[in-house]
Amino acid sequence: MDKKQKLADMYVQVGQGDVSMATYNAALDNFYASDLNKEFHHPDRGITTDECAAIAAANLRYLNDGTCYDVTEESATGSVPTNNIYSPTNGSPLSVTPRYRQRILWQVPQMAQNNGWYCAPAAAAEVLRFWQVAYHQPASSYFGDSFSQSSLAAQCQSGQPGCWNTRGKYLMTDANGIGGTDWRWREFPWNPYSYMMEYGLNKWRQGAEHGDYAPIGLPQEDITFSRLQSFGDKWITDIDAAFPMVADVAENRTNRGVTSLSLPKHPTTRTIWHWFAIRGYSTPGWYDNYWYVHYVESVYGSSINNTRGYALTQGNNKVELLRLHTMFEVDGFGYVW
Amino acid sequence: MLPSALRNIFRAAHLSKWIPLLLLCVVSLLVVSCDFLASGSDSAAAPTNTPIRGRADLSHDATPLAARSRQAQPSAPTAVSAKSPAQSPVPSAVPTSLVPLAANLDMAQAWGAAIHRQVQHIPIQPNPTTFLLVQSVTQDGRFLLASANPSDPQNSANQQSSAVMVDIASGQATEIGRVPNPAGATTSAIQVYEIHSDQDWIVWTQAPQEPGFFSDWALYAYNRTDHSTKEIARAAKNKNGLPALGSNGSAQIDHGTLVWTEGVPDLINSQRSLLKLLDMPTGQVTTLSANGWSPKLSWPNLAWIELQSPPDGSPTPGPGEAKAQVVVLNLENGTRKLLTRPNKPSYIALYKDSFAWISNDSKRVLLTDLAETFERTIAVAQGGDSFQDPSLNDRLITWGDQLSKVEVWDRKQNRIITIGPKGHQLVSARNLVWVGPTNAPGSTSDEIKILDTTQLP
Repeated sequence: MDKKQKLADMYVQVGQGDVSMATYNAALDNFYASDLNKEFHHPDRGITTDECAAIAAANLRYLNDGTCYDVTEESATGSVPTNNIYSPTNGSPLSVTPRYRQRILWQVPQMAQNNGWYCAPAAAAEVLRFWQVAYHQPASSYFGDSFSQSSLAAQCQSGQPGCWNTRGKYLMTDANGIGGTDWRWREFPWNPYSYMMEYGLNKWRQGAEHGDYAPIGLPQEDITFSRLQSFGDKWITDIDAAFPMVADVAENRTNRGVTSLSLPKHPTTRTIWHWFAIRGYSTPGWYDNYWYVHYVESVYGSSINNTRGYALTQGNNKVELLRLHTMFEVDGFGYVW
Repeated sequence: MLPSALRNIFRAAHLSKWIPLLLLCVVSLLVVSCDFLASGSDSAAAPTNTPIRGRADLSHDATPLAARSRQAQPSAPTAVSAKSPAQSPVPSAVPTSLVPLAANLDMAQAWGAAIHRQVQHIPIQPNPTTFLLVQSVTQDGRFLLASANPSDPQNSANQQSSAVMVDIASGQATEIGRVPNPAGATTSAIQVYEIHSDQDWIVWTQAPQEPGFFSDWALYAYNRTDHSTKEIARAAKNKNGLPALGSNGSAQIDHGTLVWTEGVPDLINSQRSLLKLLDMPTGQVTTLSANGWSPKLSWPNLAWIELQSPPDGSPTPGPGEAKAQVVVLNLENGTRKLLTRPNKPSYIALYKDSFAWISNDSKRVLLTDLAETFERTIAVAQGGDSFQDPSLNDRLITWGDQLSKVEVWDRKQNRIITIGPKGHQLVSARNLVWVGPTNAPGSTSDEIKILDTTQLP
């Protein structure tokens, strides 16, 4: 994954004017050489009509520069800005410079999780659907499994291609019964700290445990500015390169004296462990003076929404940057980028 | 002439070029609002514009890391939002007032500098392996009711969650219940939640996150006199052995009356919950609603959200078209009524005759009384913020937000008071409780803070 970190470092340099966008795009082309539509990773590409079509027609609006956006998420200015290009200002906590004021990969769809413990299969399915649509990747997996949350969660049958163990070939959710998907799986003697989302996404797309997706497991130590900055830089780099992420959080917990709060409209009276797909960002000035991480919420439309502390409604979900970051660190979870 | 505090805010936020626009907005708000304010039963306070609140927050943030996660110079102003309530007043014969026009104050400005000395502090981690998650406060204001949970369940697999009473005066915690199994890892860990009390009983629910997101719950009651504990109810099971969806078993109790919801088993592609009432002295159980949730009890009134069935012959409502209203039942005289104002509220709260709710879009906190003699919007979420979990008493109303700040509405001063950063805030009969950073220099730790609201000036 050093190569991907180098991309993130290079994107920081693009923002500082030390590397040209053309050079960076060439590096992206090299990294994503096997993608059929690799130009889609270029941050400076134009937004496509297919992307705009992913916004509900009733909510579809355009900025003066042709950027489409969801009117329910429009800028807090209440007026249409002339363009969506980010203006660097002082005081950013990030090293990287986003290209846009707001960038959301609208083609990462919201999918309701099939049951109460399938948030990770739903998040992976949302991300993989994006790869199918944006990069023309096949719906089925590298090993020929049909696209579904169940396939992503399933245990292996003996002798199936891609089964390197008896527990599962992707997320191994079903191996836990109703317990959900682990952040790390400790039972592989050859790799005691396999990260399940990395394992699942890479095996589905590329047939190998390690691939384009890499985990960042955050230490259970005091929260630091450098780790917040590191997440922020990877997040912006990925979204500008049209590369959705997945996060695993622990809500409403306290460890080492630091309390994590909850995602919007989640219950606050108990701990919740939750996976979700990250698909965008908003910079200060879009809504207010905060950075927002945009994500898709698989709880909406599922059997667990409403009546038990959840009150999710349809629409774009977002969480303030520091609030989210605390949820990573309090239990030593993290994200896959 | 702007007050100096506001000038500083403008200067800090580099908004001077927007001052004319903001002033225009203030004037517009006043013009539009005056009719409403004049007819409302609540008095209006000194004018300001709600977007200023967002700017003022910059100067109140005591968390350095939080401050560094923001831009000091927004690239666009947040003022004059299209979501301004002044542009979308709700037509009504009921007096309806809009967002208060009084500037936010901090605690010292609102209640005097000595107020900080009245705040009591409880460690959120009584020891390194346990943390407290406050659920409520006893009605006499003496004890926090909290779940005590392993802070690192992956490395403390043998530790169990428990229900505890924490003496606010001494900080001493007393365990009153413990889950049967060790916490184990993450979603299989049984947790204690929604602990509530009256004079004689403390009730709580316990369940693991999975299956079905706290669907496999059990409800317990602890007798405060003889210290016995009994199981009251548990989730119904489907034929496939999994618990019925539709409820997490959360309960409330007052005057010996316990209310909770139960999921209905074996429904196909749908879920609903029965609202049940138990008279603790007699053991008599009554089903109050076949499709109700989120019960809130403040004797003698019980309020809940109920899905309203369309009249016979009406077309089946499509997704999002079904109407959910608030039902209020007076448990002393048996009268039942529907509140007309809240439609599909996302969250509700009840205290005595006062009723607060969060709008369906989670952007507003609203207040009325059970006779609905007025309706008042007391806060509007700005920018990307949204609200949830309101609670109230005679003096304060609070709610959760997404920007990790604690605010309350002071019903005496008719203005929002900024308490500080962080969250998990709640208002009980006598207390405001929240989680915020400790005041120790250099510390990044949080603590539980408690303020006796009956002592507020």
